[in-house]
Order: sequence, then C-alpha cells, then structure tokens
Amino acid sequence: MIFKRFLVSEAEPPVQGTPEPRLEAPLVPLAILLADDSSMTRSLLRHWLVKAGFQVDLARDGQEAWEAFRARPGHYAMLITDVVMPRMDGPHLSSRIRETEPTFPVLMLSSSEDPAPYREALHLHVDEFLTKPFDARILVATVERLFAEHAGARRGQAVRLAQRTMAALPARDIPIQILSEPLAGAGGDVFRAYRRMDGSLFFTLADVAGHSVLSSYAVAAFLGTLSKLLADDLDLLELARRINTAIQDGPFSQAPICALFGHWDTRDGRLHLLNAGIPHPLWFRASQGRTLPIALDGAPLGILDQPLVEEKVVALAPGDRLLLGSDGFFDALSRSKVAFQGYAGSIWTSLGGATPAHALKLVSEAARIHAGGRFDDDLLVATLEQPPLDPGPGEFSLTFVSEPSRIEGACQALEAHLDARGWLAHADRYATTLAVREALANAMIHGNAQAPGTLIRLSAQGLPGGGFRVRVLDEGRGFDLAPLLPLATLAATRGRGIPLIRHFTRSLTMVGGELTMTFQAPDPGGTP
Amino acid sequence: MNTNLSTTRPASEAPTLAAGDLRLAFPGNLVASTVEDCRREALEALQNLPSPCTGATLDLSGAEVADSLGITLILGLYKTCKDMQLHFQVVGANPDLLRVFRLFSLSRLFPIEGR
Repeated sequence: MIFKRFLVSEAEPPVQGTPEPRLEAPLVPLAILLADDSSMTRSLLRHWLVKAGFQVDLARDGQEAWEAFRARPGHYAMLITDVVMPRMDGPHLSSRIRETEPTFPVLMLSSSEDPAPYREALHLHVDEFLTKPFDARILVATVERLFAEHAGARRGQAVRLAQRTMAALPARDIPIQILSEPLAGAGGDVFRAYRRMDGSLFFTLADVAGHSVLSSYAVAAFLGTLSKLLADDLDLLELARRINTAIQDGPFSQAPICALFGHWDTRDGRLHLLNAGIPHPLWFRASQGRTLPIALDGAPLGILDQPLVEEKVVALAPGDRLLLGSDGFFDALSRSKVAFQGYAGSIWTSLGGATPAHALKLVSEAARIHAGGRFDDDLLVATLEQPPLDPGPGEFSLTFVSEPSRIEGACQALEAHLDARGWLAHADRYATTLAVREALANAMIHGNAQAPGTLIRLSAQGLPGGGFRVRVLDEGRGFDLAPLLPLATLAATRGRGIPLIRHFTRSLTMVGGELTMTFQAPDPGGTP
Repeated sequence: MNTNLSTTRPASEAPTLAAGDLRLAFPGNLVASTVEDCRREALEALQNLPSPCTGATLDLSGAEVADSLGITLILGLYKTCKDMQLHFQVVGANPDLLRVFRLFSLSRLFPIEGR
C-alpha cells in the first residue's frame, strides 16, 4: 500500500538500562492512558513505556483520564492507573471505562499497603495488579502480556467490523459496476456509492493504508464519517475538508486515506471528481472512440491541515464510460517492472463493445496477465456508463468543438433559448452575452489550450427564485486562476476576461475546468 | 477580413478624424474569433503608413461587441502607435462598448468618442 510509513511507529533504539522493544509493528493502536496523581511516577512510567515503543498519554487523576478516554473513542488500547487519586479514584475510573468497553485492558498499580479485601474487590474491574515498587522490565513485560491477551479478541472484532462495512455493496439501481478482489480480510481499498436526495449519485474509491486491524478500524471510521457527512449534502470540497479534519482529530490519525470522490448527475452527464491522493489517472472512454486520461493530483486526507486536492468536471455524453481503478490495478507490475497503467488506456478503448461488467472483467484479467497471474495488492476497479441524457424542463445543453469561430453560433443558440424562456426579458442582455463569450473564449484558449478536437459544453438552467445559471466546461486542466486577481493593469497583455465575467454576473465559480455563472433577472416590477 | 483603411478625412456623417490620420475600421465585432485577423491587418497597415501620417483612429462604428481579447487588441494598437510616435484615438463606440471601456479605464490612455 502507499502510505505504510505512516503506520509503523518506529521505536527509538534501546538505551542502557531500559527494556529492549520486542513488539513488531503494532496491529492495534497501542496508545496507553496512564493516570497517576504523582508527577514523578507519571514521568518515570512514561519514560519506560515510550522507550519500549508505546504511545503514552498522561492524566493527573481519574477524572482527567475519563475525559481523555471519552474525547478520543477508540484511541486507547490500555489503561494503567493508580488506585488512590483525587476527584476520581482508579477503581471508579476502571469501572466507568469497563461500562463502555467491557473487555478494555486495565493494569492497576496497587500498593502493598492496600487492604487485601479491597484488592480482591478491585479484581472485578482490572486485568492485572502491579504492586509498587517495580522496575521497567516488569512493567513492560506485564503490558506486553496484556496486549497479547487482548490482541486476538480485538483483531476479530475489527475484522468483523471491516467485513460488515465492506459487505454493504452499492444499491442495485446505481449504474456503477465494480469488481473487487481484496488481498486480505481487513483494511485496504473500498468503494461506495450512494444516491442523494436530488437523484444524483455520490461515490468514493478510497485506499486505506495497510491491511492491519488498525486499517480496518480506519476503514470503518472513514465510512462512518462519510455516511454522516453525506446527510449534510455538502459539495465535494467541503466534504473533503470535513473528512480531513475528522481523520486528524479521530482515533486513526496515523492512517491517512487516499480517496477519490465523485458526484455524478446521470440526467445531464455532469461528473464532478475530487481527488486526494489516488496516484494515477482515470481513463475516460468517450463514445466517439476517444479515450482520455483524467489526471488529478492531490495529497491523502489527514496529512495536511488543509486538504490538498484537485477537482475536475467531466461532461459525459451517452455511452461514455469511465474506468476507475485502485493502485493495485494500475500499478500491477510485469516481470520487467512495467506498470499496467501504460496499457490501461488502449485496452479500455478496445473494450468499447463489451458490456460494462464484461469490460471490467476483461481489463482486470489483462492486468492480472500483465502481472504474471497474481496481484500483490487489492484489486478494485469500477466503471460507470452515461445513460441517455434526461435534462430537466427548460435546460439548455450544447456540446461543440473548441474553436473560436463557434462562439458566435453558440451564443446565438443560448440567447434564443433564454429568450424563449423569458429569462432575458428583464436581464442585461449585453452583459449576459458578453460574459458567456468571455467564458467560452477562456475555456477554449486557456482551458483546452486550443488543442484540436477538444470539446466545450455550454449549458443553462433556471434557478429557483428567479435568474438563471450558465455553465461552460472545457476538457483541459481547468481555468488559469491568475486572472482572478483584481482588474488587470492597463499594460497587461491578458487577464481581463475573468474580471469582466465577474463584473457582469451575479456570481462566478470555477471548479476543475467548469465555469459557472449566475445571472439575476431584475424584478420587472421593481426599481430599475 | 478586410480592414477599411483611409488617410483622408471621412464623410461628414462619419466619426471625427484628424487630418492625416490612418483610419482603421473593422466591419464586425472585436472578439475571439476575429481579433487575430484584425491584428494582422492593422499591423500591416501601420507598417505601410502613407506619408504624411500623424496618427491612427480606430473606428468602431461597425462593431457591436468587444470582448477582453478585443480590448487587448485595442491596447496593442495604442502601444504600437505610441512607439511609432503616432497619436491614437477610438471613435464610433456604441454605449455598450463605452461601458466596457470604462471598466478598464481606457480613456486614461487615449481619447474615446461615442456614436
């Protein structure tokens, strides 16, 4: 997997007088919550445990430990606590935690002065006692033994959780085909698709680092967060921001997630993609026989304070077919260490006649043959095919070759549509047409870089409450954002188009090659 | 595209031109699909100036629309004329063109006359 380095917390080399770390790379989150009201004891125990490769958080009393435990659900794997502490004592703390997680490992540091009956009663809520004084070797050995005893149970729990989440395949009415061959029963790649309230589709192909129990928890946390956020009907960028924050603040902050998000409206063919770390292009087979790579950059979610993503909007025509794949698919290596990615596009082109499901099977088989018969990573490929367009009443859509001589005709067609709907009756006709001209010229010259044969889509739609929206979409890597600066200086040789559009529209947004303008039709009865 | 070039004062109904000016008039809009032809022909005219010639007048009587590329063309003509020590002016602009010119403060550089 891609980000294995984030998973393995390398222990510092052993120093003289401290136990040598014996644990392999952790299969469970080995964060220990240590509660003791003695600062000297806290410091000493933490020193021993950290040197042994554990992560330790400190609490000065039971209450503070309980608040830390509740604040980071799933983060802690063991409690080490003193018996007598202010505000909340060790037994009370242990009892509260066990009410939440009945098998949570607890090591209690008792004193030889504690009465025997009291110690027996404590057994109800602890796994082990360690009687002070003890040395580092005894402490670490006890902690390792407790972890080993609980690891099996926790692994089984995590795998069941992962299998449950992985088993929730897309609903049958969602026109996305997937083919998945997980390498292991835990963690790895995951694909989900959801239908939104407005009928559009949301999907994600996510790659969670590793196949350990930790990555299984991370998969579950990611999908849980995603389900919760999808209910808020966020746009993709805001969704990525929230997930980024959730990973950083959550229990699996050491497991960043590569994710591709898509928002697909099958009615008008608009496919909005946002990428955060999937390290290869997608292949987009257009119905005219063209196959285009969609290259998107970005960093995995959870690493940076602000997610580093790239967005792209694609206008799908009926029959257009997109191939999404995990790194295990695109990076499948031949014996001579050549990645399958170099062949994916041409093979995908050749499979235009097959059904989507059959095409997926064939392209996956081609990758397997390329890799010498087996994959070394999860295989997850998906395809979606644009059905016949079904634009809403009053919607306008025109796709044409990216050539400045076509601007005049496109503007006239749009103007006729707007007139027919009465949307221009009270609007600033000149400003509207000029803004659309500018957007089209920008898309052709900068977005498509005047590349021969590239396409432009011009669409328009009325807005609730009045006014209308016009979108211009190119096939390139998007608009040049430099001209977004304030009005260009008189001496500038370019940079006037976007300020001009902004001046003549109610709003202007640009996402991944798509420029969206809204125009407000003035109230005919209002003040001019 | 054919430019309509003249070094003589035009008819009385035409916009005001100074004596000895090169008149640059394009039959259509100054937009993305036309600016390259306009630029090429205008530069050709400026490189073959009749003598004597003291300035250039861009006549926009035939244009209804100028987009940002058209504005850039006009500014390019102004700079070329300035380099050649020719005065430069724009005449015959309709109210919508004047609105766009104001947006980019073109009148700070050269005289602009409406229709």
